[in-house]
Amino acid sequence: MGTSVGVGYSVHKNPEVAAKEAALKALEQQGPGKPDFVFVFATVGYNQQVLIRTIREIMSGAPLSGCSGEGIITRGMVDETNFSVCVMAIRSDELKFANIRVTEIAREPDLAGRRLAAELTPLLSTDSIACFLFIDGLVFDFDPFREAFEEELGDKKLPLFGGLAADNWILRKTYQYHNDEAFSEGISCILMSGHGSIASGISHGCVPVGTKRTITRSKGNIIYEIDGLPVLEALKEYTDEDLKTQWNKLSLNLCLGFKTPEPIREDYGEFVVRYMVGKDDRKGCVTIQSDVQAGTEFWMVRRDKELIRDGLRLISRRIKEKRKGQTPRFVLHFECMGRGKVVFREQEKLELIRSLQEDVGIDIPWIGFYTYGEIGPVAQYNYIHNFTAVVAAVY
Amino acid sequence: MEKNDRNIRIAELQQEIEALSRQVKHLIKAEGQLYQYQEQLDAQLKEYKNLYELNKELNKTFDIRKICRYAVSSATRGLEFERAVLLERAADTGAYHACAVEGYYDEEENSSVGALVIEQKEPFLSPLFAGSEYLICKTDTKNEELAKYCTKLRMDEYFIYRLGAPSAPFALLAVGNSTEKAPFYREVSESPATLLSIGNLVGLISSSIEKYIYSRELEMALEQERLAKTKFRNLFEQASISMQIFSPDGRVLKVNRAWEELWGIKPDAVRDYNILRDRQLSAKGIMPYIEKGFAGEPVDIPAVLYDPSETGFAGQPRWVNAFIYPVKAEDGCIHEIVLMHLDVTEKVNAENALRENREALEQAYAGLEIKVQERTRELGEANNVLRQEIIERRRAEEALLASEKRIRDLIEATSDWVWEVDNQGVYTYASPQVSRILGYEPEDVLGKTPFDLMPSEEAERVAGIFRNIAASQQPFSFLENVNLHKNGARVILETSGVPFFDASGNFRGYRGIDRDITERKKAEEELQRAQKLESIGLLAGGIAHDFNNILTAIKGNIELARIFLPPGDKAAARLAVAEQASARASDLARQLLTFAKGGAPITSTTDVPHLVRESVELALRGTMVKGEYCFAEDLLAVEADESQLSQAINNLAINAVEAMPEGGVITITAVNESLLPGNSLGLPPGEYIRIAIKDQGIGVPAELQERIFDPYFTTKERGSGLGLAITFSIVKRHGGTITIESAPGQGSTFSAYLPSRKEAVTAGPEAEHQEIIEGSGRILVMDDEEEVSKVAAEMLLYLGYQVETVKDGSEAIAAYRQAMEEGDPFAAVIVDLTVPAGMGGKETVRRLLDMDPQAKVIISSGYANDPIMSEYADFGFKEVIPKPYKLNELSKALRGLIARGEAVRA
Repeated sequence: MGTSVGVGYSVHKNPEVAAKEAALKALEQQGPGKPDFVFVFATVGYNQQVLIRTIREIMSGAPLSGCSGEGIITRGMVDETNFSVCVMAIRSDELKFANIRVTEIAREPDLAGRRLAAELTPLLSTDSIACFLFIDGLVFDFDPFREAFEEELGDKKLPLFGGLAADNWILRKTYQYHNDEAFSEGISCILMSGHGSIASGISHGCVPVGTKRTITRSKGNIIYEIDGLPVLEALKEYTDEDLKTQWNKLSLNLCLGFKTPEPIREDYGEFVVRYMVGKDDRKGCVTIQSDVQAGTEFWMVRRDKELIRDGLRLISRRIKEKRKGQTPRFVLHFECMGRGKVVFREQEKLELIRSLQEDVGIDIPWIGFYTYGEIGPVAQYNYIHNFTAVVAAVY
Repeated sequence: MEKNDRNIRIAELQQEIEALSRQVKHLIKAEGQLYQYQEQLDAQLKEYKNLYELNKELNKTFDIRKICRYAVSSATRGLEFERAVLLERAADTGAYHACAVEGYYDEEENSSVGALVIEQKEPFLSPLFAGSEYLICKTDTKNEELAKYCTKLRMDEYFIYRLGAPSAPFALLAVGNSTEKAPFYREVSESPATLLSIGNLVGLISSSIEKYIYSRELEMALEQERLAKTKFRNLFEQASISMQIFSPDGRVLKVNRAWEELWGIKPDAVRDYNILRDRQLSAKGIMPYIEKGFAGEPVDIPAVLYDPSETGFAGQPRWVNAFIYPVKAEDGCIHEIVLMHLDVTEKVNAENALRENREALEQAYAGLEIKVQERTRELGEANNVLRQEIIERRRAEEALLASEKRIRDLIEATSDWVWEVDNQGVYTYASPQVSRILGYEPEDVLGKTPFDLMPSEEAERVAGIFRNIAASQQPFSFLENVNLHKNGARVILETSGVPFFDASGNFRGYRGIDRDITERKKAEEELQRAQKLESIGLLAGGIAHDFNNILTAIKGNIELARIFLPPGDKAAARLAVAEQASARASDLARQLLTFAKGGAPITSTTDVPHLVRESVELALRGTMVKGEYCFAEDLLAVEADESQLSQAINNLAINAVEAMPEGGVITITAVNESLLPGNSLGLPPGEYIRIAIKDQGIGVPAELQERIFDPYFTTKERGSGLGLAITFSIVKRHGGTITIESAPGQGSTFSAYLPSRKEAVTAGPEAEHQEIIEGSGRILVMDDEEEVSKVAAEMLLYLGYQVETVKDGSEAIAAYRQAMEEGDPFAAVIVDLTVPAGMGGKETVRRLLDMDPQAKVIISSGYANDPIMSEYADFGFKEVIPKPYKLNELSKALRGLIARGEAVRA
């Protein structure tokens, strides 16, 4: 039988109609037979529960995982509106998918890592290929999670791919999907095993501007001071807008570039970019998605369209280099929401994504979403990224 | 120096870095704005693209339903509002009805909003009709009218735009969001961008709807034009008049079928014909008319003989009248010329023949003139005769009309209903009185039979009678029949009728009158009932009288026997029982008399509580009903015939008991009441006592309360209908009245009002009655009943008197005279009131008093209720003693004469 994959999408605003439209299209492309696994990404305008339940019904109860994004990506199509959904149905006797979930991850990310590892361990086998993680992007600190997770797994470490769930700048609630359920503050995890492999590529496309800055006070992933100034004061220099009311979009223009750790610098480049996912006006602090210590140097970085284009070409080149002459069974694509409509014109964006897709291969089932943070391994190290594209081609 | 240079260079570099840093910050700011503009531009482009696509779709359709759907779909998908409703104006009411909705994914919400109707008069719409382009309702609105529609539209914030002119917009477009989903949709705000976006959409949709309306009107106009053309073509083709259509330059364009038939020429043959070049027409002088017509003026062309063969066509010459009608375009230019021919060949030939005939007739006319004059004279005479006949006939008609009016006036003036039925018994006429008598209008009755107006049984009965009458075709009179008034009431009619026949003697039906005799019948029934009552009364009175006579003998003998028995004799007890039985028999006789004659009460001051309690307890004996009494402490006495009053109270108590077959309590109260002048009871003002008997029975419906005191009226299966009637009669005779208060299920209260008196009740009757007063002297007893005479004599002897008995008045007078003559006159005479076939007490006393004005005559009778018994003094009697009397009563009566100082003569 091999592996047959179908993808469908819909931008209809009625959750039931949209779910049916996308799921039926995916089933039609997949071909006969109940899917073995279903990926779903959708934006948050929908009643998420209705959406997921309807898709699951159409998929005859096949295991389902996914999350909400700022937009969706399929082959030849990107949509960053409040109402879009994409579905990938996979039927395979080569690949196996086991999905699990963990909830209530907000307060203790390390505990969440341990709990997830504990759930995952019994499912691991020698042919386990990778884990896909879809995590609530509003409450998550990746570093303690990863450390605890990998520590718990020990030598059974796996490459992690995925993204942080988004909610279209509302910053109120993101959703993770697990079978019939749409939930928040959790992790939806898929263990992919079997006869297969993944070739991936990651790139950001940001350049440092200005002089070096130093974090002078921080705790975990919270920054309080930059160069001895309250962080929000320091950031005001970079905008004429009111930070209190215009934070969402402005924060995208104020990315922080940290020196890349040595082991991954060669593959990744000079800077790791961090997006300030939240701020607290009362406490006068901002939050990023990994830990940072006081004394850490950084540069303000800006997104560069040319670098982004070049980075995507690099991704496709790397993927193709790894699997010369082979065609991926399907591709999962996690694109930072800071690289979507907030930077590119609609047509530019579409052409960019199409170009990537064509470079990787013609007619390959492709699905992805715009994230609040991307997860992908660099030089064997699992890492969280901002302002990147993480593309995982499954062979 | 090098160090200095380095320092200077460092300072310069630092300045450059700072400058660069500033530039970087500017760059970041500028880049941020650029991205923002880009996004806005994309959003606008998307919106315009959507509008462009919408416009393309709208241009493709003239389907209003599609346009409405596009409107709501664009508002939600294009403008990013959560929900949209398009409401279309109803042509008849002006109300706005939802015709397209989008964004309602809950079935209930969808159907609820889909059925939404906004009345044109809704106050919140008035700004739109006054010229505003839109209404806006935000979540914090203070406008209650706008807020009310949040619920109806299922939007927590919304715009309503009008589509079309303010005076009567042809549609309203509502767009908005629910609070729950608002973050994912375009905000309802008056920002320039939002207003511009909605304005663009509304403009596009409005223009599309206007285009639709225009196109619909255009379509209708075209359809009308098409119909007109078809109609004209049909008219042209089917016209019986020959018609040709020419171009303005004279070429023939079209001919119709009538033209073909008239001339016998095929249309193809005249393809090259040009009327303006027709030499034949020129030769006949017709061309100027033709030219005038072609110049644009409608023209009548005089009859002309046209021969087609002269113009090169086959066909017969025809005389034709022609008419030219130029058809002009709107700009006044001549479009076509229609030429119509009317074939007048036959007419011209006929006129020619007529002319020839006329000439021949004119020649013959001279001879005929004389004959005509003669005939004219004859006709004149006949005419005079006819005129006379007409005058007479008119008089007769007038007389007939007057007669008819008289009859009609009479019919309408009479209180009877005049009718006519045909030989099938169906009403063919009914005078207006039917409305008064039966409640139907005359036209309601026509077509019905008399039996349709009767109850079914009556209809059957009367139909049987009428069949026999109709078979005999004889008049009939006073046929009583029961009919039903329109309101359901029974109406008794007395019908009389006579048959009528047509001129050939065939039976055609009956004419007659119906008289309403309902009231008369009621009166007759009442009379019959009264007569019946009277006869029963007479019978009862006679029985009571005889009964009292018998009882007098029985009671007197028992009493004497008890006296004569030695003390302790066992027979005394038996006699006492017999005496009690005779006392009850005596009561029965009294009741009979009361019922029978209702005579004037023989009154005495009566102790009401004692009498009432006794009468009620008598009725309650052996029943499951208990009596509770409440008498006012200061209750006054009444002047009453105790036996009658007792009977009245007894009847009321019996009535109460019968109203409570399952048992219960009756409450009897007696209180003093002062009635003022004009009181509602209709009684004279004064002091009364009210005796009320209240039961817990089923009650009396209001409609029956008026009749409850009528004789023979009863609601009980075994009731005589006399109890309450007698009670009413007794109370009335005592100068009082009786009322009822009742409601179904709440029991009844009967209240008897009797005039009271302040005098104390005299000593206990029982004590007085028991006293036996002995006397002496001679007493004459007159009674036709021997047993009565005997026992009276025995009793008087026991009292110490000497007694002589006689059988009637004659003997009494003779005995009295003899005693006077003998010097041993009677001290008193006890006479019976009635003596069959002899002189009774009334005549006797008159004669005795004539003889001896001092005669002391006591009247005694079984007719205790006879007026003479109550007004005995007026007739000359000194005392009265009703039968049956006891020893003490007899002694009291005689003693009464003594007490008034008229000692019994020894």
